[in-house]
Amino acid sequence: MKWFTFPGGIHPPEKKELSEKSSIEIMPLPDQVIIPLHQHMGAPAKPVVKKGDLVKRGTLLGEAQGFISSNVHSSVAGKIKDITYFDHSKFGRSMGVIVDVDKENDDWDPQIKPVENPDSLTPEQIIEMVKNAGIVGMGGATFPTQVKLAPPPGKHYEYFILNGAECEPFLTADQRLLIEQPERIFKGCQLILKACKAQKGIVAIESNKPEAIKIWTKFLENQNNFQLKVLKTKYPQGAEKQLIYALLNREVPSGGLPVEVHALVQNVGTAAAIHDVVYHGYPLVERITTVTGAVKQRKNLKLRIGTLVSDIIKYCGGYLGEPGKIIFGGPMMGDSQRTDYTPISKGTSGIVVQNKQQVSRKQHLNCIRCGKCVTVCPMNLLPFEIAIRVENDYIDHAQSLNAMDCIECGSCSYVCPSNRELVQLIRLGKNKITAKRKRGA
Amino acid sequence: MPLEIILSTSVVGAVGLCFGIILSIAAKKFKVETDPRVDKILEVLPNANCGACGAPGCEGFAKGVVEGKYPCHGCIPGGQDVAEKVSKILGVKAETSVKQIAVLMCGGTRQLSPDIADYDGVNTCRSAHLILGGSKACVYGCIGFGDCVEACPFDAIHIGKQGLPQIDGQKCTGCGNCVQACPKNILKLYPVDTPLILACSNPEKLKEVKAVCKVGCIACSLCVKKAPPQALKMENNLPRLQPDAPKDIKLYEEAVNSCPSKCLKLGVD
Ligand code: SF4
Ligand code: SF4
Ligand code: SF4
Ligand code: SF4
Repeated sequence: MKWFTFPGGIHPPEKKELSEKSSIEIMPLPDQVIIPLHQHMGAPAKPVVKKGDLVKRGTLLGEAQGFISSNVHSSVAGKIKDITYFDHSKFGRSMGVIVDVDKENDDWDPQIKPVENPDSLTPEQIIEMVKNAGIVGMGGATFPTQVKLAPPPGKHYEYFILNGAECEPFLTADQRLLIEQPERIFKGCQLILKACKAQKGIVAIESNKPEAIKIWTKFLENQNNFQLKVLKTKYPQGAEKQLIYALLNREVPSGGLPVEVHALVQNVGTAAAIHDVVYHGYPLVERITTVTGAVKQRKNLKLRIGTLVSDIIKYCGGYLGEPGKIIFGGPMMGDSQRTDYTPISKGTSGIVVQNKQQVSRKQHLNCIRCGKCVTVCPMNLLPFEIAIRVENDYIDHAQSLNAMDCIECGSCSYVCPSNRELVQLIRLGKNKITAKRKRGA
Repeated sequence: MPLEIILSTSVVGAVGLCFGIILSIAAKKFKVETDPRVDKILEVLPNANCGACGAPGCEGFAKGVVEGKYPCHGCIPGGQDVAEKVSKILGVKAETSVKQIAVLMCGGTRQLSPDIADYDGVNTCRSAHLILGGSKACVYGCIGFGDCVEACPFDAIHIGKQGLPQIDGQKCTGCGNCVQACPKNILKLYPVDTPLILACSNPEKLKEVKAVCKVGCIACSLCVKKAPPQALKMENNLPRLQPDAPKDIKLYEEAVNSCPSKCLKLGVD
């Protein structure tokens, strides 16, 4: 079989063996959840409930504000204790709804009903349902899905790609979903294909998931609009632009969106969520998250949005050794946390724990111009050049070296023999470029 | 041997002479008339090229002010003195401007608002801020890596013993470069006659603030009651001095003393 891939990239230790054999497990309800009002790219949702209100599972808590934003629903039944600041895993201090969980009556909001004719919905109706259900890209980017599904005027989609690459080390949530619930995901895929009006669908899985590949090869045997393609195991194979290049040999233009090359990429979890809203009416209130690394039991858990990491770790038997670092997402692109008193949100694909011994602290040396970072950069950038410009505050130079194209995959930092803080510096540069643009200079 | 030296010297000399003549003719012929006032103004400007006026450097400002693009008092570091000189050169009446200086809206030193995590990244405030707001307990407060120090063209900011930047009121010209450099947005420009300063930017409430900082504003509103009527108002859980508040420092002593967190200060220095 031919393996598809892109130029550049790295192959860090996969570490998937830690959790890939554990089936999805439902974690019992915690006593309290903190549901972030900002779980997506764009503006935070505006609360439509107040302190003391009783809510059900699926009750709307926050309304989307503007075009790029998303609704937020309660993941549990219970009473609202407060709407206040908390430590958000991606945005720092941010507003959230604290709900005391009523474990006895875990019912869905009575307003939630399945539609009668899920198979005869129009694309517009599907997109409307996705919008109301607050579905966002669940691979971690959390871009509101309804915005992606509807191409901007004058543009159209040709291919829909289901992103089952899961190229980040450690993470196995998508892999378990692909193995355990192919029907649910495939129905979701059909809905996406219909909603975005593409002609062909591709299910893309990395070669290190033989079990999933076997199941999907059989599953797609008699489907003429969907095709399975196996990707070479390489990081960042699951990044949108790299995936499109690998499968379609099309390059998304600098600063452009995948729609320019007529491709739509959606994550496995997102497809499952779209299935749930169309066939059951359920808004997005739970997700599969891999809990792995330095924890006693490594699991793939089905979690209610807003469950605190401290509760999750307790359920997994506690830390293994003294915790040194808690990462939301994978170790390459994830976010290190300030505290474990922080809830998971729609984009939390994994919780990776490192203990004190595993946290590496390397001395940062000068660049020796070996060019390794250039070889691995999947965006064909010159990471060392950009980093030096940023260090010396030559922001315009950094911009002209296309710093804004960096996808912050961290491949460059990974290979650098001098342990240069390449991706950190480039990210800083990007932030400075954006700040400058905002000032209008 | 000497002949070769003489020959080459004279060839080079002759070529140089030719070019010199061509250049001087060109300079006369294609001369661009510059306004002599531009040079005069350039002489009185501080020549710090700080960019506070909005022009790309002092020369840009000098040209712009002659063309009427910038006001005579547009050079902020120059203050009243330069404004008057520029107005004189241009023959217009000088407008008065109150000097402004930068003030840090945070008093949370390492001891008062300690780190709750280790930060092991690029040593700049902006970079630390990009990772969930940095490792300091209070995410609104000063990180102390000194991006503002780097940005100041007048050497007016230094990181003090306590790890917070200190602004030298004598040297600070109010150019605002530090204000733009600070990712936390906690440096603000205040007119030098501002009677009351709040050294905190945390918009959260009592319990949350107490948990992260010993000198954070807990939004108790005591100061609002003790200050002259209508001078202070609570906005976003922080007291804010209203624009038309009286400027006499003495009127605010009681408010400052009443603050349980001791985060109010009299005067900008
Ligand atoms: S420069 Fe950006 S895109 Fe290129 S390897 Fe580094 S992090 Fe990845
Ligand atoms: S990998 Fe590191 S040492 Fe090599 S060129 Fe890039 S920055 Fe320099
Ligand atoms: S005031 Fe702002 S820029 Fe200056 S040290 Fe503090 S956080 Fe950094
Ligand atoms: S609470 Fe206020 S004074 Fe304390 S660190 Fe935060 S901003 Fe600074």
